[in-house]
Parts: sequence; C-alpha cells; structure tokens
Amino acid sequence: MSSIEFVKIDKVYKGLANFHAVKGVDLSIRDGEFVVFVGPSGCGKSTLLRMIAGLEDISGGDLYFGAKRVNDLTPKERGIGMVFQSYALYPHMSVYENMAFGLTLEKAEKQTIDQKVREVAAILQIDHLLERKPKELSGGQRQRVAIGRAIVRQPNVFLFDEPLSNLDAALRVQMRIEISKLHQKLKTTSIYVTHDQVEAMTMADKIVVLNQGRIMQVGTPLEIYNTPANTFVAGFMGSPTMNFIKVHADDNHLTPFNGTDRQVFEAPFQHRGDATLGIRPEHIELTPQPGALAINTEIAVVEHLGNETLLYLSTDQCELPLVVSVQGEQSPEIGSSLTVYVPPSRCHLFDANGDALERLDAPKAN
Amino acid sequence: MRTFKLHTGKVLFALAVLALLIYTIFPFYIAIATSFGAGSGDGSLYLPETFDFGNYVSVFKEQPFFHNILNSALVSFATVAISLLIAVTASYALARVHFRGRTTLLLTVLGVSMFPQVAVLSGMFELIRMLGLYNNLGSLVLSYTVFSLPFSVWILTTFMRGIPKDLEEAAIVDGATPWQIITRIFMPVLWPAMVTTGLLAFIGAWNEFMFAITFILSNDNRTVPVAISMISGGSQYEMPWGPIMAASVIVTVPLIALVLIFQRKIVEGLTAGAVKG
Repeated sequence: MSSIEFVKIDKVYKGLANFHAVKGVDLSIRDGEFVVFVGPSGCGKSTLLRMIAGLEDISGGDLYFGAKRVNDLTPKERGIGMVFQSYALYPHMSVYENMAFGLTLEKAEKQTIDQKVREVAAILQIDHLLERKPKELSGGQRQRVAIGRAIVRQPNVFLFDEPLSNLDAALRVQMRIEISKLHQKLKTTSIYVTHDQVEAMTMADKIVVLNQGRIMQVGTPLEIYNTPANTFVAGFMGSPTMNFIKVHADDNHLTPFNGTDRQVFEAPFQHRGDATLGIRPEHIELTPQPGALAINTEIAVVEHLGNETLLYLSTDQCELPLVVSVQGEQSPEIGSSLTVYVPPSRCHLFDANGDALERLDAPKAN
Repeated sequence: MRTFKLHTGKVLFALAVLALLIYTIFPFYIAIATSFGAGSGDGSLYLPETFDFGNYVSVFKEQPFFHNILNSALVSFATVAISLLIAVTASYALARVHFRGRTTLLLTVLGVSMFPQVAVLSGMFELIRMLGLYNNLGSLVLSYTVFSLPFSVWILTTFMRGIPKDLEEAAIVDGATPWQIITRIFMPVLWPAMVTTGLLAFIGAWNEFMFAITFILSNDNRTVPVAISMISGGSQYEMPWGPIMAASVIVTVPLIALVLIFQRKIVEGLTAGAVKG
C-alpha cells in the first residue's frame, strides 16, 4: 500500500502535431484512498491512469509512490494491479491460471500460489469457477476474475480503467457495490477511471474532475456537487445538468441579461460585471419563494421518470431550455405557461472566466 | 407437382455432388490403383484385380527411398520450425512495435514473395555455393525458409494485430517480459494461425522440386519429389508408372495424416480472427 504524489505530470504525444494529453497535473492521493478520475472522453483520465500503471511514459514531472520516485520503474516494479475495460483475461488459460499467472512469473512456490489464488477466489466468490475458461463465463464473472487477477499479487495500488462499462445496468450497480465493499476490506489505494458520474459520486472518497488534460477540481463527492469550482464541473457533474443563466452582477444585485423582464434580485455574492448564474434542476421551485428570481416560461417537453418528472421550459432568460426536476408524477400541459422560482440560497455564481465565486453567507449551500 | 420439383432438385444436387467427387477423387484413385499393380498406367479405366505390394517394395529396393523420406522430413520440419520462430517474432514487431517504415517493410515482405522461383534460382545458387551448402540439406532449409517466410509473416502479423492490446498490457502488469508475452500469451492464442501457416510451409517444403533438383547432387541427399522423378524403368522408352505411383502414395500419407491431426486447428485458424477474452 502506498500514497501517490503527482508533481507537474505532463504527457505529450510526439507527432506531426504534438498532442498535449496531460498538462501539469499536481495531485496527492492518501494511502488507502479510493480516488475516481472522471471527465468526458479525451480528457486525459485514462492516460493519467496508464502513466500511474507504467504503461505510458511520463513526458515531464515526477510521480511518487510513497517517497519513491517511480517514473522509470516498470509496472511490475511499481507493484500495481490493474483491471481493464475489456477484462483482458488470457483466453487460453483457466480462471485459476489467469489469476496465478503473475505469481508463476515471479516463480513463487506452487503451494503459496495455490493458497493465494484460492483465498482471493473465495473473497470474490469465484471459487467454483477456477477450472473454467474465460469464454465459459458471463460478463460479471469475467469482471470478478479480472479483479481477482489484480489483487492476488497484493498490489500497492489498484487501478481500474472503466471496468464496468461493458456490463449491463443491473450488473453494473451490483459490481459497483462489490468493488466498494472490496475496497473497505482490503484498504488498498485505488484509482478508478470512469465517465459515469453516478459511479464517481457513489464510490469515491475523492473525485478528480478532469477536462482537456487539466484537473478542474478535486474534492469529496458532496463538495463537488455543492460547491463546483467552475462552470465545467458544475455542468459535468449532476444529471440533468445544471441550468446556466447569464447575469450582470452589481455587488450582490444580479440582473438577468436576456429577456424583457429585467428584475433585479439579491444573492449572497460580491462581484461586479458579467457573470453566470447556476442553478440545479432539483433546486428550482414551483411555488413563490421570498427573494427568489421569478422566471416566466412555457412548458416545451415533459419527461416522466417515475420517481421524478423533468420539465423542459423555454424562456427568454437563457438560451438552452431551463430544466426543472419535480418530485413524483406530474402531468402539466405542454405549451402552458409556468412561473418558476430560483431561490438565492441554492444559486451558484461564476465569473466571466467560469470560475466559481465564493458565497458570502456560508461555506456550504445546504 | 411440388414433390416432383423437390425430387428434381434433390437429384440435380446429388448429380452435382457426384460429379465433383469423381472430379476430385479420380486422380487419387488412378494413382492408388496403379500403385497396386493393375493396368499399365496409360490412363484407361480399370479396376485392380489383385492387391500387389510389389511396386511398394521395389520403390524401397531400387533407390535409397527411405533415406529420401527422412531427408524430406528433416528439411520440412526444419523449415517449419525456423520460419515459425522468425515469423512469430517478426510479426510481433510488425504488429506491436511502432517504428518508422513499418508499413513499407510489411509491403516489401509481401513484394518479395511475388518473385517466381525461377527468377531467383541462379542468385540463390550463387548464395548457396558461397555459403558452402551445395549438395547439403541446409541449402534447401535456407531456400524454403526464405520462400515460406513472407506468407507466414503476413498471416501472423494480421492475426497478431487482432489480439487486443489490453491482453499484452495485462501481461506487462503481471510482470511478463516481451519474450514471455510472445511465448506464454501470444503463441497459445495464435496457435491455430501458427498451425495453419506451419502446415502450409510444411507442404511447400515437402513438395518443392526446383530448388531440390538444383542444389542437391547425390542420390543420398535427395528429397522425395526429386527421388520420384529419378525412378526409371528398364529402358528409356518405358515409364515405370507402378513404382512412381507407389512412391507418390507413400509420400502423400504423411501430409494427409498431418492435416487430419490438425484439422480442427486449421478450421479455427481460418475462421477465428477475433480473440475475445
């Protein structure tokens, strides 16, 4: 087990046009932490993971496991275990041989190998499958074997590269919980790459949101949700995505940019100039609130999800339709008008560069 | 009416199958029948009256045919072993290692195989003499390997590319060296493809004639195809069809045996492109 320290990590793919995949990443991961890298496709999260694994050269900066610089060490010397998206089980070997392969290469004693493989197989409940070939297993079973192969050598760091994306929805939820349980039991430092924000929110001790090779924000799931550091994080995390309204700020007085109805409302921010107001769909209210910004809208689309209903409202206050999430089943008429209220207590405000402005009233919005 | 249609369809199909069977099997039938001593081998249709093994015995009596078979086996197995070893390692590089001019190299490999044997015969002869391999089985191993390599490399490279990169990386994470990746992961996965290319290389080497007659001088060092062509009759006007056919049948048996042994793998090799974990 070990902590991991990134110091100005860079990755440049040399070519006709140099592609800067990872740009100056600084990050500390504590021993035993479960860290999730999340971001859109091409944000560098997999590249970063592969650099930790040693499968990708580090173009610049230093990577430390504990106090040891590991830039030039092979994956084996770093002592990592990795689970691949495609499972990457050796097709010609049985489950047992798959799990034992790393130990066999180390020329460990047969008895030790046997004991370790059976121990791990018991933890993952695949002990009845040991003689089978990968092609005889279901997706979930293959995933367990891939995890088993990674933990059998007791790695210092456990790496997951979108391990659940090939599974169906029900199995994904089940495996997600099992991986979390496994981490609680083993307490090995784990880094998990995903583009699925639900996985990120539910599994992580710490989420690292990446975009275009840079870290956008590092924080616990609730920190990321409640105090997004910029418009990218605010828009990326949360489903449906956060609504943005362009406003003009004059100290704590905000005036929406667009629209005919130029009402001024107060929010606990200190800023002068153009800004973006952010409000999550689940925080918009349908009943009048004291001090809230009232927005007149027309209902464009209604989506029924059973436990909640999503209303897509067209308004002249913002370019995209305003999304509102309402608890339970609602069947408002499409085309009818609706006034919604944005309570200042749940608002986020971002400056012209997209960086979040600090709330004056409290460190946290709830 | 419908049953009539059905029947004509079946009959036509059966006739087509029969025609195809006769077309493909008849030459073998003639060869086997002639080898057992019936007829004079002039191509007339006949049924053998007796099973006479005389021709088979005479093949081994009148020339060092057993020795020739050993030579052929030695040359063919050596060719297969060497070309597979080189082809697997070369295809690993061509499929997995990024370097400048990779595609050009692969195309050159394919281009080389387009030259007919005759075109390189004299050059190859010079090379063999320079290496002191004239009238030595080594000359055949060398030249056959040269000719079987492009095909083997090309086929194995294609298969190697089909192996997911994750599989290789999983092995790297498990601590495998490149050599261990090739031998412990890639070769077992590529096994069907290797059997197929190996068998084709074997058949090529086993049946090859032109290099064999050019580079080998003495009877004892000859391979089977040349030895068969050297079987002569009582006079220059007599073609000893019986012994020739007997020798041909003997020589065909190992090939059939190999194909039967590896049959399942060959089919896998020809059909299975994707390797799924």
